Amino acid sequence: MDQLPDETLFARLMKGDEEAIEVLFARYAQSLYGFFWRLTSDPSLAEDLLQELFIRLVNYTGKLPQHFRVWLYTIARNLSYDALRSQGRQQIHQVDEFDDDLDEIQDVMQNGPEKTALRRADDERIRKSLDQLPDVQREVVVLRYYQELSLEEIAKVTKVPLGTAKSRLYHALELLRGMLTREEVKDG
Amino acid sequence: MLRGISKSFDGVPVLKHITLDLREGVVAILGPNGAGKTTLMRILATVLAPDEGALECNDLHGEAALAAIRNQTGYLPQSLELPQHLTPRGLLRYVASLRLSGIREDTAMRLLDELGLGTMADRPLAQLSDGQRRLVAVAQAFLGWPKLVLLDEFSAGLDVAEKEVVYRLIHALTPGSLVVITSNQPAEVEKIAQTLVVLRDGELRFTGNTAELVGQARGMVWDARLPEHQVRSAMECYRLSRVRQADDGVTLRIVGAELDLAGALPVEPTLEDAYLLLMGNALKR
Amino acid sequence: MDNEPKQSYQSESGNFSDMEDWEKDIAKVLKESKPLSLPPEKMQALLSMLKPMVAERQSPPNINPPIATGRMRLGEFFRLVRNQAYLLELAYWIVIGLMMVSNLALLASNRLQSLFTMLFLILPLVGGISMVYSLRISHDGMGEIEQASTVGLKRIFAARLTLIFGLELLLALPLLIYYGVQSGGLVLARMAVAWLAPTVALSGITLFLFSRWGEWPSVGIPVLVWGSLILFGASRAGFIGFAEMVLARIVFNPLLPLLAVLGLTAGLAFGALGMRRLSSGRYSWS
Repeated sequence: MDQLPDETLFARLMKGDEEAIEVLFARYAQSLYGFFWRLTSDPSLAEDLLQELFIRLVNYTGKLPQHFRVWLYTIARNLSYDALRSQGRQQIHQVDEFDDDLDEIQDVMQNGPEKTALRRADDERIRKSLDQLPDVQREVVVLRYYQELSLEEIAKVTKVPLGTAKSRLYHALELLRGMLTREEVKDG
Repeated sequence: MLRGISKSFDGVPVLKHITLDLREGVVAILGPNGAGKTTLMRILATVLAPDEGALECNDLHGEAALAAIRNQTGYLPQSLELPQHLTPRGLLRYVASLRLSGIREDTAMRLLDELGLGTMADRPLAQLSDGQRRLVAVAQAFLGWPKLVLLDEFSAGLDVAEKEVVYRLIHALTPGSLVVITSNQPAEVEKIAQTLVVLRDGELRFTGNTAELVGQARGMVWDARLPEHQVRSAMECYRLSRVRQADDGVTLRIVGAELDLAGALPVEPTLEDAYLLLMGNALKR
Repeated sequence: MDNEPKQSYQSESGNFSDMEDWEKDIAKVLKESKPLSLPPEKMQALLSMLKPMVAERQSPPNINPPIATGRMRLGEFFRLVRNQAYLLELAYWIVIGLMMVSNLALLASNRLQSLFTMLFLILPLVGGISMVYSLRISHDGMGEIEQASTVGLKRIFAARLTLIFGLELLLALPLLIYYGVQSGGLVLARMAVAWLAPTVALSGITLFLFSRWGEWPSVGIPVLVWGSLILFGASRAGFIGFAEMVLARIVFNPLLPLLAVLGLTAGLAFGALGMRRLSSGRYSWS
C-alpha cells in the first residue's frame, strides 16, 4: 500500500478504501500543514485549511485527477488565497513579471557578482525573510524547497508558464539572498 | 440557469424577466423584504412554476431540467414547520428516503454531530429550541452533500454561534457545488458569498462579486461629523448608512453621489454602504 | 536543463538531484528552517474524522441518481410507503391500535350491531379523516421539501394514501372475514364492496375538499353529510332495526353493485382532482 502512487490511492479512496486515506494522510498532512502555515503565517488558520482540504478530498466526486500532487497543491493554494483574501491580507501590488530568458539567467549567474557564502540562518530569520517576499514569489519558494515540487509541477499549480515560474524563483532567491546576508552583516 | 423568469401573484408582478446564470460557489440573493427573493428560490427549487421563462440545467430543458435539478438539490424553505413529534434522526431519515439515493444513517448522524445536535438526535423536535430546530432544518438540506443547496433565510432565528456552524457546513461542500442563500443583510453574506445578486421590486439590480459592488460605491460614501442640532435636517436630506454617537457630536455615514456638506470626508465604502446606494435614490432632495 | 522526472511520489528527504546551481546554496539554508508541525493528537483526530467519511463512499452515495422519470419499482414504492410511516404521530398509531383492539373485542363478544356500526359507519369516516391528517403534514411545511425532492409529490402522496388505505383495510379485514365466514363468499364480496365504496367515496371527496378549502371543511363536510345520512336512515328504521335494515340491503339489494361503482367512481374522480391540485406546481403550500 505504501508504495502505490498517489493517483491509485486516490482512486481507491474514492471507492471507500480507508487504508488509502491513511496512507495519503501520512504522506501529505504534515507537509500541507507546513505549506499552509508558511503561506498564511497563522497556525490556527493553517489547521482549519488543512481540515478543509482533506474534507474536500474525501468528499470529492469529480473526475480522477491525472497528476495528484499538482491537483492537491492547486486546491491548497486556492484555499490559502481565499482565506487570505477574506481576511484582507492578500497583497495588492503585483510583482512585475520579468520575461527573462532562461539562458540569460544562467549568463548572469556565471558572470555576475560573487555569491556571498551564506551561513546557517535561524528559523526566525528565514521565516521573516520569506514573509517579506511578494506572494507569488513566496509561494514558489515554499513549493520548491518545502513541498519539494518540481518546477514543472510548480508551473502547473500556479498556472504560469515554466519560464515564469523559474524567473519568479530566481528573483525570489535573489531577494532572499540579499535579506539573509544583510542580516548576517548586522549580526556580525 | 434561469432564463426570463417572470411571476405574478394575483396580478401583482413579483419577478420581472429575471435571467441568471448560476455556476459554482456561494451565491447570495440580497434584497429588501418583498423583493421577490423567496419566490425566486421556490422557482429554483422547482416548487413553483413561473408564469414566463424557463429553468435550464447543464443544457437540459423543460421537464428533464426540472428532474435533473430535483435530483441534486437540498432545499430549506423560508417557513418550514416541521412535524413536532419527529426527532432529528427521524426527520433526516425521512428526507433521505425522498432522495432515492441511499444515504446512510451514519452520514445523517455525522451531519447532526457537525451541527452540535448529536446528543439530541432522538428527542422530539418539540423539545428543542427554535435555533436548534432551524439547524435541523438546515441539516436536511445538506443531506447527501447535494450539488445544489438552496437556503432561504437560513439565518432567521439562529444565534451567532449557530450561524458559524452553518457557514462551516457551506464551506465543507465539495468544489463544484452551488449554494444559494437569501438575505436582507449585506453584512451577513459578505463572509461567505462570492457572487451577489441584488433584487429589488422583482428586478435584478446587480450581479457580480462583492468587490464589484463595493467598487460601484467608491467615491460616493462620506463620513460627516455634525453637531447634534444639525443631525435631524441632515437625516432628512441625505441617505444614511450609519449613525454613530460621539462625545463631540454625531458621525453620520452618508451615501450619495455628490455632497456639498462641509466637513464631509470621503471614506472607503463597505458592502452595506454599496448596497444601500444601490437600493435607493442617493439624495433625497 | 529541464529534465525533472515526473514522479508522482517523491521521498520525504530533500531531493536535490534536479536543482540548478544557482539554487543550491540558498536551498540548503532554507531547508534548515523547519516548518511548524501539527501535534500528533490533532493529526490523529483529523484522520479519525476523515476515515468514516471515506468509508461511506463504499456504497457510493450517488449524489446524482439516475433521473427518475419512469415508473418506480414496486420494491422502491413499498419502501416509500414504509417511510411515510415516520410522519404519523404516535397518537395516530394509538388510535388505530385501539380501534383494532375494539374490533377484535367486538368479534369475540359477537355483538353484531356494534360490529356493523364500526365497519360501515365509522371506518369510512376514519378513512377520510386519516387522509386529511396525513396530507396535513405536508401542508404544514414539509410539502415544499417533498415537492423539491427526487421522488416528487405525486409519488409521495400515492405512498401516503396507500399507507392510510392499507391501515383501513387492516381494520376492516377481521370484520369482513367474520361476516364472510358466517355467511359465505357472496356475502363477503358484497360486504367488502359495501365497505369499500363509501370509504373510497368519502376519502376522495375529503381529498378534493382539502385541496380546495383546507382542513376543516374537508373534515367537517363529510362528517356532516355522512352523519346526516346515518341519522336519516336510523330515523326511518328505528334504531334497533337500522343495522338489520342496512345489512339486508347489502346482502339482497340488486342495486348494490351499481351504487358501489358510482361511489367508487365518484371517490376516485374527486380524489384524482384533489391530488392533481395538490401536487401541481401552482399550489401554494404556505
